[in-house]
Amino acid sequence: MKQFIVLSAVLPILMIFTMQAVIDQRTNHEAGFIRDLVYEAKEEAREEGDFTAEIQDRLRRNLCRALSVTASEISIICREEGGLLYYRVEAPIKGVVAGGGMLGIRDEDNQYRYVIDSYTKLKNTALPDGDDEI
Amino acid sequence: MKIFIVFAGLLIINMCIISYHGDFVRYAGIDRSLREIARESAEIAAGGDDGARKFAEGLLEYTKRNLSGVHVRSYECDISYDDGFAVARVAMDVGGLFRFPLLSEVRIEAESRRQMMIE
Repeated sequence: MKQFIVLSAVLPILMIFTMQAVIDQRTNHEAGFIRDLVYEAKEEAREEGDFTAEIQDRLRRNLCRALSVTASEISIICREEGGLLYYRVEAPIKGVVAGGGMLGIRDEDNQYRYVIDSYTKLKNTALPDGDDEI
Repeated sequence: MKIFIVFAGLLIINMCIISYHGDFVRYAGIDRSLREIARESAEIAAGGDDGARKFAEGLLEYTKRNLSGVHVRSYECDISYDDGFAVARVAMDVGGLFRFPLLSEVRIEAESRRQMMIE
């Protein structure tokens, strides 16, 4: 009986680690989704010469569908900087810690924002000369 | 007492695995960034643009500035041409990425090659 009581206390604590491994897989899967969708949008933007409203809308829609979040939770910033296209996409990944409720982590805290922040060169444009820094 | 020792042992092992996994996710993130930089630079070089190296250096510096919690000791980039292909190699020496002492200093490298669009 004594061992059963100890087991019932210890098991939930050790289960968190197993569940965390599963949740990490899901988190990585979602991060992969974000990367693929942003890569696709970036390549389209390179062809078009800009992150057009249509490309941004499609990216936002696809991210919403893949991550089950609302459009307002996704942030897309992009601008042209002398032949280079700057883009920054932020999307939330929720439920990143297993057993959040048990550990006292609120749902709004149990998430992080995945950020993709980089530059790409527009097609058929020369890179800026001089000492301009990225 | 015996049960407690076994529990403490399992807890420590699990915590080590979780922290290693967390560090590895950061490593994978930097690795992906470098691969992306190498790919973009190789594409630029394949298009015959001389600014590929500068572009790669700029992006590496930008990545370095945006990395928090790790020490980027140095970074390198090299653009070369090999038998009709543009080859971009980038590397970054990072410290403090893994909490295990044996892995405290790591070198992350990425290479990409693209066929030249202009002969």
